[in-house]
Amino acid sequence: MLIRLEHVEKQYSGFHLDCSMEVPEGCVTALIGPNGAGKSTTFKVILGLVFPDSGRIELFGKPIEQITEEDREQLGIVLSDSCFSRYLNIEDLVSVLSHMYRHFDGKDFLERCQHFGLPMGKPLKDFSSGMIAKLKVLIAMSHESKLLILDEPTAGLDVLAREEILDMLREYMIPGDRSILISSHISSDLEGLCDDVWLIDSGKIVMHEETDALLGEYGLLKVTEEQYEALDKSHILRKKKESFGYSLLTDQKQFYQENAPELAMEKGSIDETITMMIRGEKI
Amino acid sequence: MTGLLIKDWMLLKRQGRYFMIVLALACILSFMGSESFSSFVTSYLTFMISMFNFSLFSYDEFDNGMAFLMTLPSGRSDYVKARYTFSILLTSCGWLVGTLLRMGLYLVRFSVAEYIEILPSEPMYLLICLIYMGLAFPALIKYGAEKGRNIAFTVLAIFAIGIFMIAKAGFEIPFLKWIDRLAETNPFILLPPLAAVSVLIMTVSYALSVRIIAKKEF
Repeated sequence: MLIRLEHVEKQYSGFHLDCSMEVPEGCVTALIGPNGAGKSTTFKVILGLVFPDSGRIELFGKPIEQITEEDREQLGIVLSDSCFSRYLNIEDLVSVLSHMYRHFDGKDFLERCQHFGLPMGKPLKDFSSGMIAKLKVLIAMSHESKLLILDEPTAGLDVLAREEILDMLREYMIPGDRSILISSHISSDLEGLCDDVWLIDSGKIVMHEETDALLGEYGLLKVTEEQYEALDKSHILRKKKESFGYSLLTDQKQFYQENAPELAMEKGSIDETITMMIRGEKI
Repeated sequence: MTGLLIKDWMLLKRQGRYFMIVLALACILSFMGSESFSSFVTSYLTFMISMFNFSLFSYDEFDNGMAFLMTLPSGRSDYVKARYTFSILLTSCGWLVGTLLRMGLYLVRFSVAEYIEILPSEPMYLLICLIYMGLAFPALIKYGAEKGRNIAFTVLAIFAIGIFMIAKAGFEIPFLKWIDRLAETNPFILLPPLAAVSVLIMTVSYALSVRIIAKKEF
């Protein structure tokens, strides 16, 4: 495992994080959840920006306290609200990064910046939010890192800019020995990119599933109250009261398609799964 | 650490116009202005250039940039090491330029004898700036650029006002009187103890800053 969190706890006023999760090698892992669920705190704990009250954090198979400078060079990081000083420009960054990372490829970095139309001489404070987002990802990918940790890399971007960033991430994964831990509010971004998904709510992991299983085996049943009463509920995860009766989340779509074909069944999606897992009532 | 030093150098280059204005003003006022300004050109340049070290904290903190810097391979203690190294080097450069300018000024406008008289005061400006940075940096790292700078300026102002009030009230501070007498006898005699104090303060300050940043959350 490249990242392992075991009951990592952090207490803030009005918020308690208690998170256990793993990021395997060669996979794109998503951490999703509503605003204030604990995604950024989890990222900050992994990166050593905040200190947990208890629990164990491993990075590259080592306790986080034993991480060396060489290990840190294997990380490519995007923080949602932070980057290099906005008074610097891309040419400055090349000088800084080439002295920061032994495997920084300045030529490739500059070519990619040009490809994405990022201005070389302008200070970052004059960049649009789309330009900054692309630059952050390019920096993270510029030094042959083994693991990308990306907190909301596509936040606030239009669909074209988002797709460009996702293409960059897909390209990054081609060698096969690299991994990504990503958080995003935009489920469509994750559906086409991630291998597995961890759902966090109020500081706790409430679900872990492979994306293929989530999209292929999860479904949303729409039933009347009478249909609900008669239904075998052994594979229902959550229910939610609706005007017509109930919406029911199942992780065994095929079971209900075979045993109750008359029921309306919608294909599972990350958005609906999040909504039902968080807002729905446990059965 | 080299990467962080280069970052600071790049930020300094962005402020080239500020340094040009400071230097031009120093040159103009030195060679065309009154004699009173000429006498403090070294302290003016050293102080103005050392102020940039305080601005560097603000540049790093802009848009929550510190969090990102702390994820870089160099780590937390290297950040402090780079900041102290760069600040000492930059302030020393400012002081050196000021000293050379003042030397040239005295050779052109006044006399070598007059310059030799004021020579012992030259290193004092550098040492005082280093002491002030040593006292202020841990506060800047702990409380952030804005709050830390306010705390440092407030402490300095209270100290200066206190000395002024004591002097105005006619009280004599025996220690200061003793220093005055020493300086009159041999102006060079104060340099070694002041240098020792500045080295001590910088060393303690550095160790304190490393401890503060190691415990700080971003």
